[in-house]
Amino acid sequence: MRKNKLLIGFFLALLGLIIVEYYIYTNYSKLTRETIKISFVVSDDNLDRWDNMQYGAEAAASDNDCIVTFVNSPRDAGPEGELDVISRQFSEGADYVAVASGYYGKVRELVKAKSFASSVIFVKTGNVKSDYNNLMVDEYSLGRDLAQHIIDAKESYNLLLLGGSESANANLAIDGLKDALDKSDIEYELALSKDSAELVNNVYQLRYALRYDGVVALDSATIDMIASKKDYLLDAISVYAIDNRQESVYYLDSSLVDALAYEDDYSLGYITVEHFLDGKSLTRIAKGVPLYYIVDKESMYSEQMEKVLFPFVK
Amino acid sequence: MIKFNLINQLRKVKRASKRRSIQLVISLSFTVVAILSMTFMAFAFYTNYINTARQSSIDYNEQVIDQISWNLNSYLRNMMGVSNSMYYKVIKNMDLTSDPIENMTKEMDLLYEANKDNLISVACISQDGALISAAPIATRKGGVDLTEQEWFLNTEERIENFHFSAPHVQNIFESSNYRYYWVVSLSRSVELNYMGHTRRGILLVDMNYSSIEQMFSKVNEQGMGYVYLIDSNGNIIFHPKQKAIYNGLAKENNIEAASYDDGNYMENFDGENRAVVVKTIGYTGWKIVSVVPMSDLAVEYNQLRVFMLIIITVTIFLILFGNLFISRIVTDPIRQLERSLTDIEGGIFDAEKIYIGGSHEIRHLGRTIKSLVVQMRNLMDEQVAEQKEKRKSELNALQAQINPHFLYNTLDSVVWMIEAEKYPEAISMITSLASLFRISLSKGSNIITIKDEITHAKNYLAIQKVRYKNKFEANIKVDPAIENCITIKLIIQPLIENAIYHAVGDLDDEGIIDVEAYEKDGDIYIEVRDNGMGIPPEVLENLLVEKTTSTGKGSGIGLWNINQRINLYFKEDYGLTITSELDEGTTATIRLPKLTYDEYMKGAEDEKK
Repeated sequence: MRKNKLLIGFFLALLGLIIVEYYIYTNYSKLTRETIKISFVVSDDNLDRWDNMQYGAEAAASDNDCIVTFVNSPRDAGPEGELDVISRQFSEGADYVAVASGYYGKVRELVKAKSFASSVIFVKTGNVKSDYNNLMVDEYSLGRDLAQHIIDAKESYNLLLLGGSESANANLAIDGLKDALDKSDIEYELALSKDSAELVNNVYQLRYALRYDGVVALDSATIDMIASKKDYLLDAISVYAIDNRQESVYYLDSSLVDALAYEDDYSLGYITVEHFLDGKSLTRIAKGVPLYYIVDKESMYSEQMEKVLFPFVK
Repeated sequence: MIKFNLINQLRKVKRASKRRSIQLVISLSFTVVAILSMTFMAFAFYTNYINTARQSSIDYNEQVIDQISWNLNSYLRNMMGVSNSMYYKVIKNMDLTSDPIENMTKEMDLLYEANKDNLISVACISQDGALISAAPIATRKGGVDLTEQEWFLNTEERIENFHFSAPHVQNIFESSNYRYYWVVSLSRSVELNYMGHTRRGILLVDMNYSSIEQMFSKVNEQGMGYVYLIDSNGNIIFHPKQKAIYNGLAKENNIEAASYDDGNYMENFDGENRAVVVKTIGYTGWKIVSVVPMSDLAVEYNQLRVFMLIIITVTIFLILFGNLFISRIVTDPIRQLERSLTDIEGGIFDAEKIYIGGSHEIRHLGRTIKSLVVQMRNLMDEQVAEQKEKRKSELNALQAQINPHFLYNTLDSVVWMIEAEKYPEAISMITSLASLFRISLSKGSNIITIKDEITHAKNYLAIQKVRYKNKFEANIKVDPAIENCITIKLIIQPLIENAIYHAVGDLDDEGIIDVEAYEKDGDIYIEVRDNGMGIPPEVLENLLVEKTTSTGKGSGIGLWNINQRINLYFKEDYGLTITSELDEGTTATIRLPKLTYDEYMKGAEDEKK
């Protein structure tokens, strides 16, 4: 009788042990690490412009069991549309979402109220002094460094700072430009156009006002407008631009633009993914890494600038 | 309840560990040996598996590298073939003074069309940097000085070789669609023929970097780790995180890798152990480096680790229980035998209770012990019997002694009777004395019939009555049914003697001594009652206690002797009891088994057997 009890006890203990170990086996013996899904939501109608950021994000994700997805939220959809896209990423299994928002302030407030707020960071757009999770280029320093480049080039003494629209980021760059130019003997005027007609008019002003020997295009629309009217511009007018599209690199290569302030989206994408994967703070990863460059024709084919300006082969 | 049991079990284990029981020793030593062996085997198996898996991974990477090396070699050879074809079949046969340049361009176009997946452009440049011909037809960029290009300088420096540049963006030709190409420039020095005069020029084949990138990317998408390509100085030609490395966001051990010969290595870089395989590409001096972080390999071992842990714990559990169970089976007979020995130690010599079971050896041991116990018991029984007989003899001898005073007094009385010419009384007294002696002797037998014992008592009373001048009255009443039953001789006479000496002998009134023998409950009772002064309780309680020496009159040796003799001849249940009341008298009661002489003899013989 005692032996029977012993045997029953033994088999019960063995059964318990096997159940516990089966649980351990199924939960702790996975061959693959858990895949982390990161979505980038960009406020744009065209995803091609975000190639560089995508390359950077994918490079950081490689060998890390991480899937990176880029989705765009059309500008027409507004902040609510952007929030819908962000929410949808989480409902479709994203672990983290990085947002390059066209409506930073509003979207940020909307996201803050959501349960997934801690899994969202803002990239490229935001407030450099914000305590909220964001990674962006120091636009003020970019403007200041571009202004310093203009000052050092000594080719322009009457500048028109020309922009197509107002944005927080552009304002920071303008502040940087103005602060640096104020300390030099260069005169400047700021002309921000609210519509394309006004912008065209401002470009013609360059030609016919005869008082400018340089222009700083503050955004993509302005540099495209200047490029389309290049035949009207005097050769004596130097063109500087703040843009990071492939078109602007071409303008630089074809000598339409004398210097380009170029934001390194590759690094932004890379740092963002690394932040999600390693949990390190954005500023810590970004420390010492240049997120923008002032490039001219001479330096654009240097070993380093080549890799910054030209997206890697497709 | 569980707690109680657990505590009990723990106590048992503690006790067992102190005693170092055979079961504990067996199960513990077997378990320790089994666990050590199993751990050793598991460790050896695991280490072997890890090493094999690691080697397999390295082998796989070597295969991958061989494959990619073959592909890259093939690609580069193909590009060198393009360069050779262009040079030996076209440029070398052309006189640039007389032959139209279009012919060269046409040939270049044909070659380009045939290899355009891998080629970006082909160009022939004069020594002073002038573009002689190029394909596909494109506009040369303004402001680009070809003589300052790295590939141009390298070729001019060493005219005998093919030169492979680092990847760079091609910036010789205008791009109409904002499209820039990453290329690796393959350049060589060529001889240009101008009316028989030879001048040096450079043939440039811009290979599509995308082809190399795709080759490596395809490999990097599969398997563990990654593969990168460096030139002989360690400059990165391809790396999946090339740009991140240039930006300082990632690190690579490319400079040190350039010093590695072909083979596999273990290196520690940036705090990480990595398996590295290196293979050099001919012509170029480029090195393909495959890197597998050991942490990636470790992921694959997790399942094995958990699986082995499960197997080990279950096996340990089984071993533990199996050892306990088997050791219990082995040691149970030993334990039972030990219990039997404990009984023997406690004086229980019951051979039938000795455990005989278990394995052959234990059974043999049990049987041997049983045999020893039987022998011991026999020896002890013999010794006890001897002692008993000796004791009986001693007691009988003691009892058989005739008080010399009694004999002297009796004979003195006989002399007095003869002197007084009371011959009949003298004859009666001598007859009684003779009968007394006859029964005392009883042919040496200690067992006589009650009838003879009563006769002996009567003779004694007859003598004493004469001596005491009939100072007391004696009544003897015997149930005739028990007259032929046996008794030990000389057990009533000492009681009568005590009654005379200590009770009625000194009475002022007439003393009465009643002797009664009767049967009750299958036993025989013989009572000797007197009406004397009785015995004080403190004296009474010590009357039957053994005394080594006689302390004179009333020492009680006679009573103790009677009791002992009865006990020796019969069981402890039988014997002598004395009750007394002061001023009332004393009753000595002998209890005997009701046995005939034949029955007694038969029982004695059975006991001897």
